[in-house]
Formats: sequence, structure tokens, C-alpha cells
Amino acid sequence: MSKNFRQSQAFLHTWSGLLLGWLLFAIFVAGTIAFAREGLNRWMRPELPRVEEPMKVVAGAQAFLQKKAPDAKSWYISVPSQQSFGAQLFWVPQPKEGEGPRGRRGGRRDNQALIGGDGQVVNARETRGGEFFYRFHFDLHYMPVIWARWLVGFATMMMLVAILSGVVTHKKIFKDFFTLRRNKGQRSWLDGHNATAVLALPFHLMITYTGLVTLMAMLMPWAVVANYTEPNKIYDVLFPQGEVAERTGEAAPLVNIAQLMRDGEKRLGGPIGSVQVSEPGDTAARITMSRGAETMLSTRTPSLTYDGVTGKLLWQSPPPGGAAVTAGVMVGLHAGRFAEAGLRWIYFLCGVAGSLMVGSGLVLWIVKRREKLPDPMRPYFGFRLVEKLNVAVVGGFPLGIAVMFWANRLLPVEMAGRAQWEIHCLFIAWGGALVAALIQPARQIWTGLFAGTGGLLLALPFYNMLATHRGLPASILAGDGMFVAIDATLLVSGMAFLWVAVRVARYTPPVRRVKGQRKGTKPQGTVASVPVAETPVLAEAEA
Amino acid sequence: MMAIAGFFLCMLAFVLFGLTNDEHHRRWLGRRPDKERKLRLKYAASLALVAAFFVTCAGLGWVMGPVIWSGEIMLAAGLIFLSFNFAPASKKD
Repeated sequence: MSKNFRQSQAFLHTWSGLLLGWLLFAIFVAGTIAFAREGLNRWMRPELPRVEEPMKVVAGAQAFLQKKAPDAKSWYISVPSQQSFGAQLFWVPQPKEGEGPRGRRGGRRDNQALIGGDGQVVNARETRGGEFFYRFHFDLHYMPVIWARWLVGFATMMMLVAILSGVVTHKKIFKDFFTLRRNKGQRSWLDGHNATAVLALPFHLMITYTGLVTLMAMLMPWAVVANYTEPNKIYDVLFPQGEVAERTGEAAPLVNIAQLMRDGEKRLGGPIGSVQVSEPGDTAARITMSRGAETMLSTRTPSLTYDGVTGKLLWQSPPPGGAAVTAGVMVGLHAGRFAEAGLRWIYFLCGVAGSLMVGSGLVLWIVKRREKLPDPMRPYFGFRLVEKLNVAVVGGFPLGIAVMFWANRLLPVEMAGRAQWEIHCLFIAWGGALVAALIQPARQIWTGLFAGTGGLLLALPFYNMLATHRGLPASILAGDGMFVAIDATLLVSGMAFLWVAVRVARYTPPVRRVKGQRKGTKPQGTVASVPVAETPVLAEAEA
Repeated sequence: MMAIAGFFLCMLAFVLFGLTNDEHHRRWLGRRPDKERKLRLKYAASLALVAAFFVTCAGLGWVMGPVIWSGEIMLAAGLIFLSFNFAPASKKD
């Protein structure tokens, strides 16, 4: 019974992991990079000055909005921290006669601006920055958001199934906790796959489960449908707001927002994350501020509403219910917005482990089957398909990202649709990798893709040194930890990719699998790379 | 400060856990552990993990404490895993 159960779980693990594995790999990698979202927002706009005093930026934002949109319906200001690249603003103009209150959609592009660290409007290069990875993580790209989210939701569900069935399948989860048998072909792959899975298992479980929670209203809408007949009611419960005042038409000056924020910070117990002003410049003006998510575990942050003319507190959000806090904490744990540098690194490293887990799992499928191929020279269709897709995705997606980073640096600043073209570059490179994988033997392409990715990543910090004023030495001298961390990570990952490429290229496939044959013939590896480095095992047939 | 103390307790815990593995014990300490020794190592390691939990929570409170503790565990496990398998002393096979 027990054996059968384990076998059935092994079957489930294999197929739930494989079928959506490629999508999961991309989601996992993008999500991992998205932990550096704020950092990349800055890194991809190296010309922007650093935010030293957030309040100065807020004051600049108010001055700008009062000039640009004095009689708007509302303003929205994202309050920067010292980690942000500036304050993003947008404003909603007064609705025209006969237009509903929601008639503003689509016009937001012309109604936004960015205030830099010096409090002035900046014209930085057009880029999505780290936001791309954050969005791609659940919205993918080039497809309607709703489809993407269903796909991602389904893949996440499969991931949860794969993790749970993987725990059952893994026979000696504690006994083999510290075991890594190197240079042993399939055995090494399995150990590497297990290590990346088990060492960060709490993270994998947490991130997958809470990932589902972020999509729960879409995946399982029935509880909401059954309890709230009016669709807007649930939003009022989850995101309570103070009463909106009607515009009186009588002009009145707005209070100083930055000053009022000090009071708000005291009352909310932490820094403010966003400020919304309705009917600015009118006696009915209201200023609503919410606490930033960086200082709280839950993403359901409390908020306050002030009278915009007198600065009197009018409304305070009620304490959220148990379910709302639970969901807020789960989303907070998933996004890790509260995480400061140390914990953020742990998040990032766990994400790397997860990406390696998915990648090595995909490769393991091939490694296991290669040994049993009736004729290694002529593998069956499914085998070839999985092998090609592995190369295209596990090798191609990182290359695409490296190319996108370069596009961010090299595309001309005045280029039309520049931000979109950065992203197109990623997919063009990724598409190229797919085509190459389809027509060339897997082993050559593995080497080429890893070498290309490694070279591109490794060269980036040097380019930054030469072409921007934010090279690694300058960042170290300025004590700008974020730029140092990103450049250093690029250097390390570039070297890792190159090292893997070298190992793949040097690998001499055994003529026939004989125990102990490859003993001592290869350089020592690191755990992160062992699974990938062993890749050529899969390429024996073509070699 | 307490988070760092907790982290070192986690490191200690995983060194002890790692030594319950026959191979690693032999490589690092020269002989295989007997059953009783393994059991003692396991108890000591578990104790260190529990201690790390309370130390971390005492420093960071009961909301962030458990979150940081989970991070400490994984980071420590990863580092110890790497040292056990890749430090020069393990160059046996």
C-alpha cells in the first residue's frame, strides 16, 4: 500500500512538475528578480539622483501638481523612501459633462509624472524597470491579463501539487538532507534537485500557497459571490474609505501635504506609503494617506482622511477583520515588501534555489529517460520535445533577461516606445534561443546560451563603470548599497553562467555508463551549478 | 543583534544535524557515529533551533520574529550544506 502510494505520488510529481514546468521556471525567475523591483527601478534609470529626503520629494510633488493640475478631480502621490527612484504621480481630471466618474480610463498615460530626489520633475529614460519582472510574474506578456492570471494560477496549483507529492516521493528527506553525491550523473541531478527543494522547503511552500492566495478572488470567487450581492460592497469592506465630499466650487488653498504627513505617520505608527488628494484647491478637499507596506507584514495598510484645507482629521480606517488581516499577511509574506536588506537577500536566494529546483527537475526528466532510450541516436518525439523546450526555456529565458538589461543601457533615449522595446528585446532574444534550440544539437546550444548569458551579465557592471556615473567603485564610495548589490549580483551570476558553460563544453560523455568511470576527471562544482553543469549527460545522443 | 544570535544558533543546529549523517561525521571527525551519539546530536540540534526561535522572537517580536527565524533556518541550512559538501576537508570522493 505504502509503496503504491509513493509510486502514485512519484507519477504525480513527475507530470505535474513537467507539464507546466517551463512556465513555472519563467514565473519563478521573474518573481525572484522582482524581489529587487525597487532596486532595478533605480538601476535601470542610472541618471536619476538618489532620494535623500523623501519629504522634499513630496513637497516637490505638491508644487508640481498645484501648477499642472490645480483643479483636478484627484491626485495620487506614491511617497518615496530612500530606496525608491522618486515619487510617481498621476492625476484624474474633472469628468466632462455626461461622462461617468469612471470615464477616465485609458487617459492615465498623459496624466502622470515622476518627481526625482531633488524635488523636480525628471525626464529619465523610458523604462519599465523592475516593474516588468513584477508584472510578468503574474500577468506574463503579450496576452490579456485575465488569461495570464488563469495560466499562472493553474501553474501555481500544479506547483503546489508537485511540492507536496515531491515531499512524499522523497524517501529519505531527513536522512539525505546533507547528501550531495557529485559527478555521479543521474544521482547528482537528483541530489541537486532535492537539495534546492528541501533546503528552502519552507519558502517554496509559503511562496506557492500565498501565491495562490493573491489570486484567490479570481480562482475561487464563490465565497464573495455568495456573501455579497452587490459587487462593490466587498471592496467597501476590504478597502474602507472615508466619505467623499462634493466639490463646492469655492476655492481654498490646500494645506502643506508633507507637514500633514508627519501627523499621519504618528497616528499610523509608520511611514506613509501613498497620498491621495480629492478635489484639491476646493473647500471640499480631502487628503487620504495610507501607511507604506514596507513597515508592515500585512499589505492591508491602515489609512486616514484629513480635511484638505484645515488639516483636521476626519476619518480613520476601522481595524480590519480577521480574514482580511490573514489574507493581507499572506500577500505580504509573498511579496516581501516589508523585507529589509538582509531578509530580502534570503528571499532572493530562496528564489534562486526555487528556480534551480524547477530547472533541475525539468532536466532530470530527460536524464532519467536518456538512460533507458532504446536507441539513443533516435529518441522518441516526446523526449526530443522536452529536451528542446528545456534548452529554450532554462537556457533561453536568462539570456533574454541579460539582453533586456543591455537594451536598457543601449537603446537611444529618444526612441519611440523605448520601454516596450526593452521588453521586445527580451522576447526576441528568447525567441532566437528557441529557434536555435530547434535546429541545433542540445549540447551546443546549452553551451552557447550559458556562455552568452554569462558574458553579457559579466560585462554589464564594467559598462556601468565606463558609461554611467554609477559604476561599482563610485557606488561603493557613495555608500549606495543598492547599486553595489545589483552590480555585484550581476558579476557573480555572470561568472556562474560562464563557469557552467565551461563545464558543459568540457564534458566528455562516457561511452557507456560504467560505475566510477568519471571519477576525478572533472573540476569541483558548487551546489548551485552541479545540476546545470551536468547538463551534457542529456546531450550524449547528439554528441 | 538578536537576529544574528538566532542565526548563529541555527548554524550550530545544522552543523549538529549534518554530523548525524554517517559520511559527514566520518569525514570531519574521523569515525562513524554510533546510534546514541546520533541521537544526542539530534537532540542538541533541535534544542538549538528552538533556542534560535525564542532568541529571534525576543529580539524582533512575535510578528516578525517567526518570519525572520524561518529565513535564518533556510540560510543556515544552505550555508552548512555548502560547507559540508564543498569545503576542502570533504574532498574525499
